Amino acid sequence: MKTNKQTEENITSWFRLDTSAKIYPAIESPEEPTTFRLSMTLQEDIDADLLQHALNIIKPRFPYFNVYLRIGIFWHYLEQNPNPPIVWGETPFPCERLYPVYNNGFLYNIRIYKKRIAAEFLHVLTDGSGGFEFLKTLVCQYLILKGKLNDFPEGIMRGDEKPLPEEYEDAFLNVMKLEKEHLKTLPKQRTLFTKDSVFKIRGPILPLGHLRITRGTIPFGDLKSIAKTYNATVTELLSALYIEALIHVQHDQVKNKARHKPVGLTIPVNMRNFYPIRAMRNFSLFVVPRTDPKKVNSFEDIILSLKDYMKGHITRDNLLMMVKDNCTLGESTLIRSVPVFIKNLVIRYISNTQGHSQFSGVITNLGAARLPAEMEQHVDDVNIVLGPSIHSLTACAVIGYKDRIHINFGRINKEPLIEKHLFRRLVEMGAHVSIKTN
Amino acid sequence: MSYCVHCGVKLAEYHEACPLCHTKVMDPNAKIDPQTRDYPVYREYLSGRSTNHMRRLLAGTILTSVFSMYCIILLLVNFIVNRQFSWSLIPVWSLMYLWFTVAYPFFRIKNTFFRLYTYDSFATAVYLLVLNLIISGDVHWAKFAASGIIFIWIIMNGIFISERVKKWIPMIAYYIIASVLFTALFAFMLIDTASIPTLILPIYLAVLFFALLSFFMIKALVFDLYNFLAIIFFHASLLSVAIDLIVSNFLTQSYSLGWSLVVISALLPLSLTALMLRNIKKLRTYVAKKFHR
Repeated sequence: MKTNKQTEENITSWFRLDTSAKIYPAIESPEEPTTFRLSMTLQEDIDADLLQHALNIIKPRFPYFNVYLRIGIFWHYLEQNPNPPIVWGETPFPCERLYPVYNNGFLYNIRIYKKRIAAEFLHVLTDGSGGFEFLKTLVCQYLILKGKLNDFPEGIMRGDEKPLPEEYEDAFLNVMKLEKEHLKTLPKQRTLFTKDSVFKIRGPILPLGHLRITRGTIPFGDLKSIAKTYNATVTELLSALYIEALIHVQHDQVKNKARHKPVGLTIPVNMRNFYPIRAMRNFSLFVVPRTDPKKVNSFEDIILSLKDYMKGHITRDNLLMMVKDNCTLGESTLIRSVPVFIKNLVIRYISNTQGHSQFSGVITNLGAARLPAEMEQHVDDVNIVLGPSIHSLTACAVIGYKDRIHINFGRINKEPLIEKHLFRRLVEMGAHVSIKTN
Repeated sequence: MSYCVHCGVKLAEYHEACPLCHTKVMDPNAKIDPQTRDYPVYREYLSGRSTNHMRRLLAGTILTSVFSMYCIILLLVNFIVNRQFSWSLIPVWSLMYLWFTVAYPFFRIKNTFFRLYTYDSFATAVYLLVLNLIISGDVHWAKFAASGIIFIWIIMNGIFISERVKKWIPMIAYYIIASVLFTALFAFMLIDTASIPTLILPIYLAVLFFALLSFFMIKALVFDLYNFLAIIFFHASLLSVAIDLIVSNFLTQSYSLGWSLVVISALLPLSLTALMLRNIKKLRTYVAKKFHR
């Protein structure tokens, strides 16, 4: 306990929002909850009291997650929350909107259901990779209390060590410092008001707060061999299938071909793969490949154009340009001097009129979830769910664990339009797909 | 374990139909064990569009009944006391206008912002014209107010059309034609030219300013009827203050507040009520989620 107290004293009592988190307080709403969920399924039913104890123990290790979201004059900020975090029962709708006021002020939720421990985060706090590190430590601490493990295995953040400044500092600004000289040679890239809008899925939507999850589980070997036939990665294959599904949906919903719009897909890029920064808060950027249905004749066309796009855009220089643009905008004296309520209005206005018209769907691939061998034998499954929003009725999240890959679709439209096409196509290509829903 | 005959995917044990294409699983002997579900089940009767529609219909019917009751009482009292319908026509006509703007949207399945705005604009214009006719037997002042409202509608209509058309030439042509027609109409109606710079123009500018401010704020805070109402009521009360000040300056050469205080005392509580209702709705949603079976 002494160590924990010391840790608490040494850490700052409040944190600035990181560069990419600055927009989330403005755009977060019941229609756009900006939540995602990571879960681990163990081999036995979860003991709620023991998990609560584990959560209390690791709380001081993650001071940047145990926070309130407060509003200042010019920006929102995160303030340390002295309350104990709560372990909740499961909800029928994962990734539902998180109300901190009913959650002791916390911006993340821990939920248990049978053998599963799930952590739901608001995006203002962290991204998938940061959240996964937290969940690993929580599950590890739980297994230690349960007597299944003796100590934290290597590769897991220990619950009793001090947090490093690198974990909670703004990783984007750290990149700017690291690449100071190189940045001078790069041009500006960002334009706030961008190209024409893309196709949006239409159709009736579920009542507010309701959400449908469709999880497809596929053996990793099946997906790998399919990707190999197209000489693509798994992310490229699934993104191309998503785009193909969007084109088909547009074909069904918009009868007049002359009015067909391009489809755009948001693909997050984990910046930790490019910079050795141990960031626990948001450290990812987005690329948005666009495909014009009028120029597409076959699936091969989509996958080729996508591969070209990824090759051209996911480069260190290009990502650095995006970091530079984002940071310059956030650090501009003019923007910093505007009161937060005006900023919120402007951000929401731009987001509603311009930002959301640039993509038709979202797909995120967290990659293969690797756990230390000692822990892996107690964890049966790992999963991720991304909450959709009114602007993108379907969102897809992919994660691999052991020999299988989970493709999770969260949707708020009534009909599973994208999932149906994507999974049927995968079956046609020879994959064995198992489906589960909420 | 079953497979969907259409999609070819393997289904979980608890699925009675394929979640992708809704094809029923053809095994009548299969027993569904609820314990195998991945998530708890939500009470189905709480969900569904029909329930929401029923609630809206109920709200509309209640409001209609209340308004009708008031109208009947007012007409009866007037008839019993004066043996004719005289003063009661004004509140009855006002209640009919209120019904159209508040209760009628509940009966419509699809309410877009622009449709509501169009209905309300034209309803307000007609309301003012008839009100003037009832009070003084002509449309002397109401024609200016009504033409102002239509003018604002023309501007807003231009904004909405520009979102769809996205071409400059038709939009400029639209505004030029609308402005020319409006100016011609206004010049035709105008009798007292001296009041333009001190009365009519400031009122039009105030209306234009608050209309655009409301539009921008509603666009930024979309999807919430309560926010929408709170903004409209709040801006309407500010607008009434502005108009009151302009009129008092025109008549007495000094700024003082009169009738607008009554309008504020009615609209500000309505605005606050709308905000409060919004929060209670949040609470209701939360309780429904947490106490599901």
